[in-house]
Parts: sequence; C-alpha cells; structure tokens
Amino acid sequence: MICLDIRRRILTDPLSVDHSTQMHLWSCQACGKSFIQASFFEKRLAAALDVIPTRPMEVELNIPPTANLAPPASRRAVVLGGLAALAVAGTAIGLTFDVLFPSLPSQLTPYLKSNTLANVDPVSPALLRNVLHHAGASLVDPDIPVTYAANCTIKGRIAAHLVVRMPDGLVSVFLMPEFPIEDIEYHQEGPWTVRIEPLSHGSIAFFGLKPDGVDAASGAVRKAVSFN
Amino acid sequence: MHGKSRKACFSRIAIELMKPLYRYAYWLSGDAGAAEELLQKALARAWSDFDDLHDERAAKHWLFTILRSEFLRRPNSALQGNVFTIEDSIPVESASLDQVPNLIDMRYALEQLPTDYREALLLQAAEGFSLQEIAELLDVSLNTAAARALRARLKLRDILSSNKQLASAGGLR
Repeated sequence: MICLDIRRRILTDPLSVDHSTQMHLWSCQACGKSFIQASFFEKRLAAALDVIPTRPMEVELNIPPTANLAPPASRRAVVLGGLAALAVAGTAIGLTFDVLFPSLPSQLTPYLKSNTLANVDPVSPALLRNVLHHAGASLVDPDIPVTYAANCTIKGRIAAHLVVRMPDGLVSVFLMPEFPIEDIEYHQEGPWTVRIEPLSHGSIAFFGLKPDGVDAASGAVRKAVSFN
Repeated sequence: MHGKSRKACFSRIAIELMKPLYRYAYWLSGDAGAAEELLQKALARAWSDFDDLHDERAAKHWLFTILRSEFLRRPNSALQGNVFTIEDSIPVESASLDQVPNLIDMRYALEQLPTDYREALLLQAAEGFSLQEIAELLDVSLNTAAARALRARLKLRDILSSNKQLASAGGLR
C-alpha cells in the first residue's frame, strides 16, 4: 500500500517530494527506480511541451477613445451655446517581440550531419510512411530513392528529415508542416543551395550541393509524396 | 503609474512572458495561427485591465488566467472541466514504461492527449506552477487539480505504450 501511495504521489507531482516520500525512496529500491524514471520522463515531457513561435510576432494594443462628459450638475459651470464634450484620443501601443529569428536555412543546417548522408541503401517503405505520417504527409510512390528518413523537432514542432539520392548527388529534404512561407525562396547557406517551397500546410526545404540537384529533388519528392 | 512608464512596464512584462504565454496558447488551441490570435486577444485585454495587476510577481499567473479566459470565450473551445470517463481509470501499477520515450514519441503522444489533461501537464511540467496555483488558475479544488495531473500522466503513458505496440506491429502510430 505504501509503495502504491508513493508512486501515486510521484506521478501527481514528480518534482515536489516531501520528506516522508524521500525517506521511502531511499529505502525501497523499486520505488527509487520509479522515481528516477519519473524524473527523466518529466524532463522529456517538459522538452516536448516547449514550442516557440516560428516567426516574429507584432501585437498591436489599442484602447478605444473615451469621452469625458460635461462636469456633473453639482459643479457650477458656465456654458455658452451648449455642452462641450471632450473626447480623449485612444492610446495605441505596439509590442514587437524582439526575439532573434535566424533564417530558416541556418536553423536547419545543424541537422545536415554526415551520418544522415552515409547510407547507401534505400530505407524501407514502412519507415518512410511512418516518418511522413508524423509530418502530415503520405507516401504515393515507394520507389523514391530515400536513403535516410527520420522525424526531428524544429522549434518544438515535428518535422520530417529525408535524404534523397538524385543523379547529381544527395539532397536533404525537410518537410515542416508548421512553418508556412508565402512563396518559393532560394538561399545559399555555406556550400548548400537551398530551395524552400510553400505547401498547403507549412513548407518543404531542399538542401543540395548543386542547384540542378535541388530542383530535380523537388520534382521527385512532389511526385512521390502527397502533402495533406 | 502613468503614460510612458505604464506602457514600458506592461511591455517589459509581456515580452518577458511572451514565450510561456505562446506555449500555453499553442497547446490550448492546437495550432500556431490560433495561438497567435489568442495571444493577441489576451494581451489586448491584459493591457486594458493592467491597473488590476497590483503585484508584478503575480503577473505570470494573472496573464495565464486572462489567456485561459479568452480561450474559453471561443465557441467550441475544447476544455471539458471535471469530466472523467471510465477509460481514464488507468491503474497506477501499470504506469511504468520500459524506457523514457524519445522526444518525437512524446510530442506525438501529447497531441493525442485530451486538451484539459495536456493543459494540466503544461502548467505543471513546463511552466512550473504548483498544484495550488494550477487549482486557482483552473478554478477547481486542489484535489481536482492533483487528480487531473495524475490522470494526465497515466493517460500519457498509456498512449505512449499503445503507440509503441502499434509501431512494433507495423502500423502507423
């Protein structure tokens, strides 16, 4: 009974452990192990809950104009030609959240690690389907030569990271359902030519060493993947 | 407080708390666009009621309360209140996981959690509110806040286990 109660307390408030609970955790191996697991779980939970805006936000706050009416009747006032109403102009305040927003390509380059480019064989269609599914897309053509597929988080949002083998070389692809853009963008990020395209939900970015490879990868992925 | 200093004070508080507020708005509303809109409305209301904030130390709790209230004003807002179904009665004994889930799995499981459970976890695990503060914010008793936090963690672990089993069986999770 005590152990059950202790575990219930740990699951209710893992980071607030009172003295009696601490004493039990020291003496009970099983509960101690549960507590350690709960602590790691809590850290992972906090990390997963951490989402930040994907673009700068500007908040406009206005107070509507208020009217100061004529003085109350108890005050003596000399009124010539009628009552005068004073309108106080509204107060406007603009808040620009001055958070640094580095360019999207520069945020993605840390994901371009050599281990993602090392595979030669295509990944299984089942893995690819699963990764795309997490990013809100589905696989239409399983023959697309994807040599790496994994989900990652970018600013707390789930994205799909693929590596596609094209005739001109490998191209890294990031499918980002929560990063909308207005129009196709081209960037040069170090050695990488980057093409980012808008989707109905979010955007898709292509990183390659040659512009032709990036454009070709865009065509290939568009044929093989359906974006929901 | 008048004029410029009032604006400066509000701006400072709002900017300091912008990320946690956005996080709360995001997890309540479920998407970035709706979160931005909710945040805009909440801050506009907070600005007009700024004189109600007498102690700056209470600013976070105050702003979170306003944001939640703005969310509840929306039609069809998903927060249920104190309704627990039979499926929420997951025994504590079965709540252990073989290993700590990775970030993607955790994130995906959070998206599957009911909004009111997710809210309790966010306020506690990410924002550091005590159960008493959560109870005040949600306008429930301390026991209810504690029960919600417990059930939320049990449900989350249950979802993670189910998703893992489904993935092992070859299905999409």
